[in-house]
Amino acid sequence: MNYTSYDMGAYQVYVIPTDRFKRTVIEFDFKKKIEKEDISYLNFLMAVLLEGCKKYPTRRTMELASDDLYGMEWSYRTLKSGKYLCLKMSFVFLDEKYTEEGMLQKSLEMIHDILFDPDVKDGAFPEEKVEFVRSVLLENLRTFWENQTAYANLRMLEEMMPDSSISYHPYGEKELLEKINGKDLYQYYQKLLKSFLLNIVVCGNVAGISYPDILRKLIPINTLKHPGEDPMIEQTKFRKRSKTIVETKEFNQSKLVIGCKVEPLTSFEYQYVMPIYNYLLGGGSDSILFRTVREKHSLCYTIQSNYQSAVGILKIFAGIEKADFKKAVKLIKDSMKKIEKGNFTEEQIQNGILTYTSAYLEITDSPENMIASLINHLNFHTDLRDEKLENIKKVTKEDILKVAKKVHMDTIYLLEGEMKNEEDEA
Amino acid sequence: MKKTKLENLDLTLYEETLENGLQVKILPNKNVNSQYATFTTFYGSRIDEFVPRGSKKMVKVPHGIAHFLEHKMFGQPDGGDAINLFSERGASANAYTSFNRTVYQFSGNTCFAENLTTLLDFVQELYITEENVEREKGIIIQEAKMYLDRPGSRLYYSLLDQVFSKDPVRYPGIGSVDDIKAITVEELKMCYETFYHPSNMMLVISGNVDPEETLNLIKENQKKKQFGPKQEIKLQTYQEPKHLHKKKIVFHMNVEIPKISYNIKVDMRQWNEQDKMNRLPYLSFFFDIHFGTRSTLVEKLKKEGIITSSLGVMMTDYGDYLVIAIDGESEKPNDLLNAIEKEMKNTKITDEDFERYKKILISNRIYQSDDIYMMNDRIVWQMTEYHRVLTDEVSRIRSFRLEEYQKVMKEISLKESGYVLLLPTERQEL
Repeated sequence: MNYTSYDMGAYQVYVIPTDRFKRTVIEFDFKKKIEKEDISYLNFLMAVLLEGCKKYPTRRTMELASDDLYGMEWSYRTLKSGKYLCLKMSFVFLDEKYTEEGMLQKSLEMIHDILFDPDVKDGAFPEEKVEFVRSVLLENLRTFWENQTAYANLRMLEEMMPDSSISYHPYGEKELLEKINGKDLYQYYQKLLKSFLLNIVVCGNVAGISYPDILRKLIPINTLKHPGEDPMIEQTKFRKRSKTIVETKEFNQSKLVIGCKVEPLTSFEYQYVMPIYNYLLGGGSDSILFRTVREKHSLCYTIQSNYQSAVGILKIFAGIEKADFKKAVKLIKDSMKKIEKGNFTEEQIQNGILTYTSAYLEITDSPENMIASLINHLNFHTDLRDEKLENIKKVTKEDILKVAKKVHMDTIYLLEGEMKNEEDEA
Repeated sequence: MKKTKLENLDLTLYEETLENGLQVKILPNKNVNSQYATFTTFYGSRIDEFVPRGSKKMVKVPHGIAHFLEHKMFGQPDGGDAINLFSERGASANAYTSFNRTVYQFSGNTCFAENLTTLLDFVQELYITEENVEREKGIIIQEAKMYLDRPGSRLYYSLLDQVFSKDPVRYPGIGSVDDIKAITVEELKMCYETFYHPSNMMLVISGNVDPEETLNLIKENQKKKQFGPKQEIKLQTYQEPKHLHKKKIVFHMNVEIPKISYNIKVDMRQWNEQDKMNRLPYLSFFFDIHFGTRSTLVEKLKKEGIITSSLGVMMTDYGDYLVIAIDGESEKPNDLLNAIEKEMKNTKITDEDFERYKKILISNRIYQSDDIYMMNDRIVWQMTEYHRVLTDEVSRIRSFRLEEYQKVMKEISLKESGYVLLLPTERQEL
């Protein structure tokens, strides 16, 4: 995977050339150091921005205009990434070879219209749109618990890291969402353009197209910014004994989420050793947790672990019967001890290495994967594909035993399912 | 091997049916590293009454057995799991059961020949014991309970019950907890023998493969195995009436906001395959343009505060019947239902909307053609639905005419409609 970078002063442009796909993807990757209210503001702003721009003032007209460009697609997501809050806005359009001449220019104009020419009057977004988006965001917040897995996961993080950005609600805060107005949002929009760090990545058939020149004309951003700081959140306080929280809601199945803190690791350890540790513990159907809790004791259908290197947290998740809670926790603890003691084979390590090798090879299988990999490299200084393929092979049993000692179980959270009688009427 | 170009998509499809009846489809794509294979039996959760291979008598088995069998297919003679044979090579495997098929799949980018052989071998041999079948029950019961907690699954279960009165498709594909508990080793073996014969199966491979080499590999593998003669499988038939089973179903569960599914049952008993191919696309024009995310209805309902997110539209072909479900959530479910009913009477589409929608359909095909997973799944779907791969989709879409749309809409009755309403616990009134 080759790319060329261009320093545009106020932002950076990266171009990944490839002629293997019929589409071009352009991703805007904005980020800022997270403060609690940013989540509410940014979610609110993006939702309002996509309710229509100056040229296409409603969501529907904007969508129809994209349809006319042979289904040009745009989407965004906001996510916490270590100490930062990121906004990833991406645009996808087909090569002219498959559509018609002039579509590239029109697609670029559309990007400008959506992101940089918003529907703003007198320094504010229209009241009607703001109120509609407010109702959507408040409803999303209100229905969040309907997804019990996401809810249990957030509740665990709130118990584990109550004052940290790690446990901020991904949908924002109710009180703030209730009072943000069109003027506030326009000010936040200015902030997005002036103070968020920005990388733009283009991936596709770029032969004969000078994206740096095109983007310079397209993007009205010229404020220079200080470079960002190290985005990793390090865990430094550990419990001697884990704490247990049990809450009840009306569901059939109970959700168990266990949060573990991981001591600060070296770059090699968090990029390669911990992923293999996680693979052995609960990364898939070959894992110790899957084999023990599901296959041997048939306590669950779902059990998995997941490691987030940017915040130093390992999570274990299972859907169980509430009566099996203690048994499941004990089996999970035993499984972790098993790894600590080295009760796993060289073959299992090799399987993990192969699984990651296969995932790395898939990086170049789509523009989206290539962009994600490059952005990670830029934000976290993680290796690119070829180095990854080399380095993962170096992980040894000793490395795994060393990181296993750095994983500390912290919070055990059970969302206990309890059914009242149900009545159905026809 | 039959070679067909997929027009406008820079792809070529290779097809062959082997001596034992197994259908093979290969869609090479050298622009990616990965390979993806699906091994399908045209046997799904809907079938629970049939004449077993080697017998003459119709038998009935518990609901959920096709899905149970899917779980047990992964079992290996040494007690291991076939999934692990794939992960040992860095590949991943999975499976799913729908009402009309069970599909086993793997994806990976190294050791393709070994992976493909493993896929063929584990699906073409069943290893089960009393003990491992009993143990699987606990796992599947947890899976069933997981679905029972999902409002979307519950709405879908109720939809099937509301629409169908005789066809067993009306039961949840996973079965009830009692069904799952009742399943026996003998029944699993009987279903396996009957429905996993190569002549009832299809193998689809997409991605970075050489078609000739791949076909040879498959042939060599199949040559080593013995299967009984090809036989027609006799299934129970049901006199499913054209009327809905129930006009409405109202039920409660622990949710925050009411959810509805407005369902239409279309009688297709007199349609042949060609009729389906000609008419169904036009029906999707109607439903997508009138109820989809870009519809004026959705825009209006959002403005009026009736909905905050778009409606979902799902069209499913159940053979004799087509079911169209429009679902959404609203604090005012009655207003939403009324608005949908009213919109159903307005089948008008402008020329501009019609042409734009064609453009979208074409560009979707082009986008999808880069994706080996979507292309493979689409072949499986078309083979299940139409028994052939549509290689001329782009020109088919270009040939759609507004006049034809109007004609089709006059021919089809959408009158058989009702709804399912899911209310938060303890909320009685609408």
